[in-house]
Amino acid sequence: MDADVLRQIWPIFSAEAREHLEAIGAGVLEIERGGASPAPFESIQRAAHSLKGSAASLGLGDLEKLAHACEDAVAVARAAGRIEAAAVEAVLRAVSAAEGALDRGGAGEAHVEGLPALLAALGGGKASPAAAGASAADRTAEPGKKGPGSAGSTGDRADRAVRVSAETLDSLASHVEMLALGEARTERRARELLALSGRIHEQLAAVSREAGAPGALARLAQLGRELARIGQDALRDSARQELDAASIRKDLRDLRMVPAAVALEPLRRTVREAAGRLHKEVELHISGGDIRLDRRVLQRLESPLVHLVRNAVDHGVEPPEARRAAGKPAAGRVEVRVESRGRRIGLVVSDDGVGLSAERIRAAAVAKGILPAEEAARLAEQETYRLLFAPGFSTASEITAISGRGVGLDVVQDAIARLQGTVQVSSVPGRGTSFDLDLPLTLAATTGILCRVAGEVAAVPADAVERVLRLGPADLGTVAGQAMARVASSQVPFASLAQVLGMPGGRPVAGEPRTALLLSLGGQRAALAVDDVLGEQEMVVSSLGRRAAGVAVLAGASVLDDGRVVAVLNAAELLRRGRPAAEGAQALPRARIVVADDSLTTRSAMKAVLEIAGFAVLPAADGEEAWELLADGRTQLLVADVQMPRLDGLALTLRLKADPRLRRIPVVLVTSLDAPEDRMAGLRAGADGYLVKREVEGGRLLELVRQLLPGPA
Amino acid sequence: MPAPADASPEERRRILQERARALAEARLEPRREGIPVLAFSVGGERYAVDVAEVSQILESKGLWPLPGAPRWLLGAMLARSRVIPVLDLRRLLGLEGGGLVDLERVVVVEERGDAFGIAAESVEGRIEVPSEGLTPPARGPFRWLAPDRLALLDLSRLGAEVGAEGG
Repeated sequence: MDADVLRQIWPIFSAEAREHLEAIGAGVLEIERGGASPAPFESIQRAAHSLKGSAASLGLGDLEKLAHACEDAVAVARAAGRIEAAAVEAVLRAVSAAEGALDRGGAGEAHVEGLPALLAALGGGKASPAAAGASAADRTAEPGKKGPGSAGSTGDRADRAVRVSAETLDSLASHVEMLALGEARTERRARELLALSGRIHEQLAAVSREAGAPGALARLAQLGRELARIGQDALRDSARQELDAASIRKDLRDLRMVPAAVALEPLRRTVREAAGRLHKEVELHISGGDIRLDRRVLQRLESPLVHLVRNAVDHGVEPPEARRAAGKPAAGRVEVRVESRGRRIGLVVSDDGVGLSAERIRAAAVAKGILPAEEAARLAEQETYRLLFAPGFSTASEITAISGRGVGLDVVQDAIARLQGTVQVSSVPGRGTSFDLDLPLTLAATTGILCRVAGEVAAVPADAVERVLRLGPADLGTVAGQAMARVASSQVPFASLAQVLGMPGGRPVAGEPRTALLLSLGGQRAALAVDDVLGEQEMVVSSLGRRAAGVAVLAGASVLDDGRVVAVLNAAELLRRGRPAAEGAQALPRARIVVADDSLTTRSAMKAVLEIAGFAVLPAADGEEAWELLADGRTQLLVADVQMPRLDGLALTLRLKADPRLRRIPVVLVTSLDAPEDRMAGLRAGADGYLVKREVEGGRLLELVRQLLPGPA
Repeated sequence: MPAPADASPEERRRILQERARALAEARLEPRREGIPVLAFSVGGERYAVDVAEVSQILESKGLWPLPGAPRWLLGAMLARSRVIPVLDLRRLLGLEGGGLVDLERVVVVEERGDAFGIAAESVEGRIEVPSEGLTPPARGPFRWLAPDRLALLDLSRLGAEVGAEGG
């Protein structure tokens, strides 16, 4: 097949193939759960058959063989009326391997690792004659030569659904917004027109009183009336446009919404794999999967969810014998529940395991230097649980194969905060733990409170603003160095919004009444002073693209009806910054280290080791990212992997050492191999230290860093 | 305009050669072997982007500052009904920034679906750079340097995802 055509088809094929693989994985688990219904057999056979066909048509032999073997294995199970645990395992492993191949693959290439072993586990790729006869797919689905995107394979639901590219939707949305903008302008023009015709009338009346030119005047009067009529018409048109735009906007919003199940169903496999590896018995209960939310919210929830669920299996649910001893059923229960909360949505991940121990969390936090012992002792239970989210809390010893992949809960909190959401933890010792995520239904349309801050205009999502406060001097004071504002009968942390945003001139001025926004999300509150509140407006939040994605405090930007572009602030991030005391923030500036490694696992492991030792760590996924972080000259040390995409560790070191402003920054190179020639290359490039990856956790990294960093850290 | 019929063969050849040269010169004005780029200046230095990556050039009047944004992010503006961020090349390259006042133009570019603006003092326009004599840059987000120090930006390396994990 033509290489260009392949390139064009590839994204569609890979999206489709993923859906099929998803269906195979879900189906085989459903069969295993029991029930004599033939439906899951059929859906797997259909999915495997379609996948086999489309893979064959693109010349992807590995995928074709794997799909074929899955199809046969299921046919065998169907003929036997039951499925062996080993077969479930084999199919799931085949699905993972195929997904991996798609991830790595590009146009026209998808190499499956360990194919012979996978095929053997699936039964050698040969079906028994009986099973082949039972293959329902040949009867229910067309041979796989259909074009990409054809709907036949997804069952009868597909008749009413079409595949729409998310980009098309986004573009449509932005154009609809422009339509709305145009309609606002039309309205303003119409009003101007009407005002103008009014003035003509006044002038005409004045003229006719003074001089008599009846004919001309009558004609002018007629013109004036016509002008007025055009104005009226325009006004009516704009009202109609407004209605149209409003209903299109609503339809679009619905189009963007997908059922939560899309992100929840894959968790079944996560739980099964994790439980299998740990020899635990865990049942996953999913509810609320039919609740719809913005696909972009859902996409960004996928990895935090996997993380929370893995955590629940790994750290929450006890081994069967411990559970029996505690008088619980041997099988643990993990529940993922989605619930509608008006304009927001709740996502609760809970388990019936050991629960959290506030005592042990406090002890661990003190041991890791996150906060002093006397402060820890004063923390209420809820505040203690929040320590779990502090950077550097999850210890290196917890980086097991299952939970974490080295990622701490701080990363989960980060992802949720970027979605303008919050996380709450609750726990009953011995009974279980529950993580409650509170999120906006959609990232798109919100009502914004427009305010002026240090002379500039910004919007804050209205659903996070409890109310606008007017604070007199008597309402403000400090508690243990933290400014507080009195709201009704409680004290709320107080800061100026400009200060929180790091803008100049942001110090609160004492003795003046101040306007402040009372932010409230997930049970946390803070009062942020602004210059002025300008009003409330319905707005559509546009993303600022990949380059501004790292600016946590910006949720995006929005176009107002006068064409002005304003920043939309991320309320959860404002709240986090406005409540420094509650987050166990370090009072002293910490030495800053950039850690560059393309593997998330190693990066997170190194980040954890260094953070626990009290360093501030900025992670980077490759040399280029690291270079950007280094550019402002505020970094004291660089730890870099040798092999990275785009810009590798050696090139990064060379670049750094060639820069007069940055050459003094010590560099530690990390590599997976201890080859003397690598070490030489590193030292020649100007590296100050050299480390093999397996030495990272042995304390060697910390030792090297402490040697190289001037002064106490 | 045919060559005069009564001219000698030598004269015909001379006339034809002259014409050929005139035509060739007209076409050579921007050199034929060149790479088409859009050149602009920032901080008194000349930079360029591949013309294929440029979507439009706007006046910086429509640029609005974003409170809370880092210094390399000058603000946002509307370009073909999309809201785009506008970057300060001076800050991204670690140079001393200057006021917004000097930056009168915004070059709107698109890289892998991500549209953004680069603020510029002035836009020189489309030029063709001879492909010989280009050197790889010692450092910075550049593809190459021309002998006259014009630097072609590598957009994929410009301000890409600062600290964003992305999955």
